[in-house]
Amino acid sequence: MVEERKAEKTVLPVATYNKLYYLGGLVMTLLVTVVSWLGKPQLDLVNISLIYLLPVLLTALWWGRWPSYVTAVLCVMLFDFLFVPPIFTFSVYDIRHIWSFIIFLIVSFLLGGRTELLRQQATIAQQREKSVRALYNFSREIAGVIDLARICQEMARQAGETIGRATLVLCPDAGGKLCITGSHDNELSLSKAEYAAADWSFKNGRVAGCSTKIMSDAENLYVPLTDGSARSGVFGIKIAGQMVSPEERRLIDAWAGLAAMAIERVKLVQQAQKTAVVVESDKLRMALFNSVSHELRTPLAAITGAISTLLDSSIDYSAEARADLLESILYGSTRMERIVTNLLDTARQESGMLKLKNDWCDIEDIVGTALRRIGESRCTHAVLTQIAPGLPLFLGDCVLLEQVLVNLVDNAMKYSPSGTAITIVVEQRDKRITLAVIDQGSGIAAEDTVRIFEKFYRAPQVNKVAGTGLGLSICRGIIEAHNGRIWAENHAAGGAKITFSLPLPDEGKAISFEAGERDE
Amino acid sequence: MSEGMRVLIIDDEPQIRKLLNVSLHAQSYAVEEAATGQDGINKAAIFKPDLLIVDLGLPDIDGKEVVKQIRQWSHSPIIVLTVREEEQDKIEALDAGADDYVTKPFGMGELMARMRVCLRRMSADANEPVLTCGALSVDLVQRRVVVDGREVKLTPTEYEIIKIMAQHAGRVLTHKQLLKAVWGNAYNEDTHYVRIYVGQLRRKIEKDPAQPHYIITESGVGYRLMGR
Repeated sequence: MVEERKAEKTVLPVATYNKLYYLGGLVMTLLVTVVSWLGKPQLDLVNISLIYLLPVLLTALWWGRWPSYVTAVLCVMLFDFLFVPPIFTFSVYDIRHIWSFIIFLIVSFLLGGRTELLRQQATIAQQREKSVRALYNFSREIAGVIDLARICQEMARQAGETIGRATLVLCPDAGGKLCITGSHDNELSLSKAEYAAADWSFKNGRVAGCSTKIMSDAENLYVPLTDGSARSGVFGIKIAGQMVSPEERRLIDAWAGLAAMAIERVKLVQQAQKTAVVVESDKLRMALFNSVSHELRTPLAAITGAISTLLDSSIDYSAEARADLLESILYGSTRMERIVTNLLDTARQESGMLKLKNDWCDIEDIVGTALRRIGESRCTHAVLTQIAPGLPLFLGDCVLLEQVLVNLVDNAMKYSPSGTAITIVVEQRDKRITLAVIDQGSGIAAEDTVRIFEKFYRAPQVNKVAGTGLGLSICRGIIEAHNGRIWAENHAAGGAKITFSLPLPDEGKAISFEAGERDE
Repeated sequence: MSEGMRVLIIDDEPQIRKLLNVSLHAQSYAVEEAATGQDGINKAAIFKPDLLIVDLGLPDIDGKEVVKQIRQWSHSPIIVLTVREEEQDKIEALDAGADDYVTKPFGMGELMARMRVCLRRMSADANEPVLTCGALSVDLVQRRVVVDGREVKLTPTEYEIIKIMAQHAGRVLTHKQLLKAVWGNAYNEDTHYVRIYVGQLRRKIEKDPAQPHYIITESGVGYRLMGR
């Protein structure tokens, strides 16, 4: 790449001087002449010659070298014709005036050249500052973006605007073929020759196309996007036979480098995500095998055992014993159903198939149906409800929220001793509706209050209690899908307290029971 | 009352058919089975069942379609078998003409109760002046509602709701069916009306509105008025 850069012709863009610039010089000169003519009685010749330097200096500053040279010559001629005796002729009495003309011209020429150089440097510095700022802005804008197509499009647009040329960005697709992923003012399809140049540049990691030695027939200049050894694409700039200054080339390289880094970063992020998904699903599978197979087998063993006992015709069981066995079968199968439900819910959340039905919900109704579903097994605990009166309806999925409550109460029953009470408290706090399930068990260790909502996590001290570690993670998934919050804490009187809160609709949309008909 | 009543079971699962067959036989129902939707429709025409049990997940035709087709020429009650997660399916089956549903896994007692309610509807006297449901009675002539011997003051809308529910006691009513019956067709989507009024009704007739005994919510589907 280095030798190619040297091989490039370095030609400064030829400054094009507008005719108006010369006219401007002429006008200024005439102005100065008129002023000097009017002030002639008060002015010495030396003063006038100094005044004549003014248009020369200003032309150089504003319009460049050549207009200032022309102005200088014009000034000398006018000065000679109008002010140096004999006036109204170009002839000069005193030879010393000739010397002063020559010095005037030398000073003017030096001044003009120097001023233009300064002007050029200032312009270059300004341009550089602008392009550095554009690069900086671009890098800042794409820092958080992990969408490859967007980065390429932004890159093409911003680089194109800064460089002032049509650009395009090509990235390889899944099959390794280059495709246009971003474009600014450029064609959206490439001719064969263009594509060949881009492809060569990508494969060899070197610049190609217009203004280089390789495939210089191409309209575009192609710069590979490389970051270390990784090649992520090609940056194309439409040159179409024009010259490329080293300054511009440096700018193009800077953009290419930045884009390469951004694209590489996106790829790494995507790779990391993929790995995370694989690890996660591996973990899920392992946990499924370990915990679920055990979880399902326990009630299954109870069911099979009870049934085989009942089928054994050699023993005549008492009606009481038979009822006991049948009850254990029923308990085992409801247990299994709950596990299967949780597994299905987890699978649904994992695969993103969980769809919220947005309907008006009455929290009291949800509590009622959940308690009804828990039904039979409830005799081990007393469930108390404290529901604030006049709670408004809210939008949500009643069936899923009912599942949350079933899981929470089921959990509370598992982790608190039989015969204790479980309390459900529902109230309105500000613009949220909160529901808390409080048990009288041993509570939750402080370090577990967050982790218990993780999939398959089971607090170490509860390992003797059967469970899949899915219930609470499902609750969190459902509540978060409702833009709600769920958290665990220990109740002041001992025991665990798990609370969720859901946002209520805005004042205007909220429907409260007051909206109903009044009693007659 | 089940003596000689004919029941057609349309379900592709042999175990479920066997279970139903055994249990229904024990209750003196005459049972016929069909394993596919098409077979079920044919058998429904020949066997002329007094009641049909249709599984919604059939291999050949959608269970809802089976319900719809049979409904075109038969008034016999249809109970559909569904799973919990498919509330929309239940609603659609009810809209298609099914009378009630049972969620799998179900207890046989539950199914028998649903069947009895449906069969009673067929023989019910439409002009009965007082509807009772456990300790709740609705006097259609005097427009009075009594719970546990105490009269309950209801607004006209609340009365309309409890009247419809009592007329369909034991059967599920979808939110839409209730809306249509009480408010008319124009309010098809405003299910929050139903929720608000049912909430109010519960406050008046239930001992603990959070754990109702009369107006039971069928989550995602509608309501059911139960006797105790």
